[in-house]
Amino acid sequence: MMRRLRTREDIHRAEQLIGLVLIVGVVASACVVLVGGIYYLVQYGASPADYNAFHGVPKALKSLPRTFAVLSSGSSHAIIQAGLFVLVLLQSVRLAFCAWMFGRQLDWLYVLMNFFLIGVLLHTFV
Amino acid sequence: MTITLFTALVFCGSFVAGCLGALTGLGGGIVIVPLLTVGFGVNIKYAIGASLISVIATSSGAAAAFVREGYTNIRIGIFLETSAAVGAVLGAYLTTILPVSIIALIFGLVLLYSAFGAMRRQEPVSSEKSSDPLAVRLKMEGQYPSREGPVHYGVSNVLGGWSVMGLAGCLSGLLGIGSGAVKVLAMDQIMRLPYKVSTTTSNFIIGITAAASAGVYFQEGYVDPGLTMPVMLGVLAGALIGARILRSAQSRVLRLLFGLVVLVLGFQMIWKGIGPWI
Repeated sequence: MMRRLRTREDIHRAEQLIGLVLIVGVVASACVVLVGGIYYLVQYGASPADYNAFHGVPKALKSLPRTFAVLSSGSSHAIIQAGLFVLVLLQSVRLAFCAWMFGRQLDWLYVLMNFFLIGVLLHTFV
Repeated sequence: MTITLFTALVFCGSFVAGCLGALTGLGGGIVIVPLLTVGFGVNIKYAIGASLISVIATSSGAAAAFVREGYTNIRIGIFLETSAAVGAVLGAYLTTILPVSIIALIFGLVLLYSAFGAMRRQEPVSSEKSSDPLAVRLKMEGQYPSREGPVHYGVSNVLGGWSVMGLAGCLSGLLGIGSGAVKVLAMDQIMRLPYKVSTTTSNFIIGITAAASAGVYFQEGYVDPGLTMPVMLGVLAGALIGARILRSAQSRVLRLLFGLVVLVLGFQMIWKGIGPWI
């Protein structure tokens, strides 16, 4: 059974864990984006940059399942996009950790708020 | 311009924006959209998409550092986020309906208001006595580290802050920004929180608000990987440096810097709104 957080030091330690989750998640996402970015520059670096007119990104890069499906083909665009999806999903992960922290303080109202937020985030995502 | 040169220049600009964003609690996104559209001729829809993602990166990167230092009040952040996240989803859907000129005008006015407010007010007068009964029930009061040991602070007008936060979320979804200015306004001026607690708690939730509207942006095809890559990496690197400077900076200097940045952006947004009509 999980130990209950009682003192300010306990809570601060739990908060530091949330900080750690954020750092690990952001670094992981940035590494994926960087690898995809270098590959992208190798592939297309000499082409002209043109973002004047809006065409929208290809359908394959608009949703998470499709992007991960395209990943196996080794597309640099898909690698970068996957890294960006990781960054967005990290927000739900950190909310889950916050919920866990409040749960250990037996603070169920705040646990509920966190679950509500996770629901809002994932609702727009899928 | 080749993609390599374009990527390098956008990275450098985003780095500076990220540093400013972390220092002021604004989030880098608010500087990114004018930089990309005016500076690089990027279509505003792509700019907004890249900006929104950069906002998530800024918030997550800087929030990690602040949480570890003990400034961030996660309870207040999560409570306020319940209205901000719903506002953000509404805002993202509204983007497709409202004309950009009207949105720009409203937002410019909000920025001007918060700039004047930030520069006019004296040092925070938060005290232990002034807490809202609701804040006490929700166990929101906290303390932050200082040289003389932990400083306790109270929380005022919880529902006022919560309502303004919904508006901040809506603006975030509408424009692909973090709305840090309005979030800090809600916490600093309405809830009377210490300035560093306001900016760091704002930073903590900006990423969650932005992620709430990210799904809509992805579906609409606003998030282009080639453009977002240098923006996200640049802003993230800048935000980490900005977080280090904040540790040693004074509240008064920060407030003035914050006010000036918001003021300039406010005029810029108003011009963007009424410019086409003149």
